[in-house]
Amino acid sequence: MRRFNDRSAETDLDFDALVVSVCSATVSTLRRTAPSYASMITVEKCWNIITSFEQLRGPLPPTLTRCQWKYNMAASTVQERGLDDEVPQILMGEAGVIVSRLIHYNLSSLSLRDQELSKRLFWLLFAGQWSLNVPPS
Amino acid sequence: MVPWFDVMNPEPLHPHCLTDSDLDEITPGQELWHGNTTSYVPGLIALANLFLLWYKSQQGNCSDLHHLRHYMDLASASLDNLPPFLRWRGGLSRPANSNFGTEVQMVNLYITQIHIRSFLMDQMHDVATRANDLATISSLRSSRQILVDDM
Repeated sequence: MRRFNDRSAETDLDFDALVVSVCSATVSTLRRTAPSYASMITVEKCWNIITSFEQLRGPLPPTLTRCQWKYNMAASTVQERGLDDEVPQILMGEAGVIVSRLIHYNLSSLSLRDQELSKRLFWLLFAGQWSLNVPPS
Repeated sequence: MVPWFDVMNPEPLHPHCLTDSDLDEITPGQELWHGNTTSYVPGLIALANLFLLWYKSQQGNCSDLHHLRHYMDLASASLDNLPPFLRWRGGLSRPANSNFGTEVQMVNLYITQIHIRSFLMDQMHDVATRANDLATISSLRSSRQILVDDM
């Protein structure tokens, strides 16, 4: 939030995507009872914003921020599109590789905050990917 | 996701039980939320351990009833040592350090454990059916009923 409110901070497409992904994840948890839902912020609109930027496609650069928004978008699109859709599966896979590499190769170069967030994200992704594998009872 | 760590020793990869206030400086006038004073990391670690248990069960011989039954027993006992604020407690009173967030984690842990037991039970049923092991099939029927009751 501090960075979001800091007008002097440099623009960073990954940070912008992170903000959009937080909106997406929040909306995905809300109940849709309003008839005017389609005109509001939706997960699909957030996803369209992110995919409109070529620089955001793919897993590079492999930063924590890129990992975070990919995870948020995976968690929100899986609500909309279902467990079998390729979009959340690919996002989850890319985020998983990025965070594993960050922890395995770059952990000591991250700040304490980013080290802790990376580890939390790693386990969220581990649980998330195995959730996709558990068939409905 | 292939784990890039020693599955028998995941603790070095566990995050510390820190709150947002522990991780980041609070700027004057910043709006606080419950994450500033409560760490949800214990619930995350408990959930990760559940999925790790399921992952390990699938690395062994899933045609061996003994192997599957071992992991069923581990899954059934997996929530026994949770801290009070994460433990499924039915209608019992709410512990002091629980909130809506930890309640969600508590339910998530309980349901995940049920799913894992159910999945392992299905695998055992398939193996017992192929081997025409009627005794095991019969005991699985009562185990399944216990699971449904838990749900």
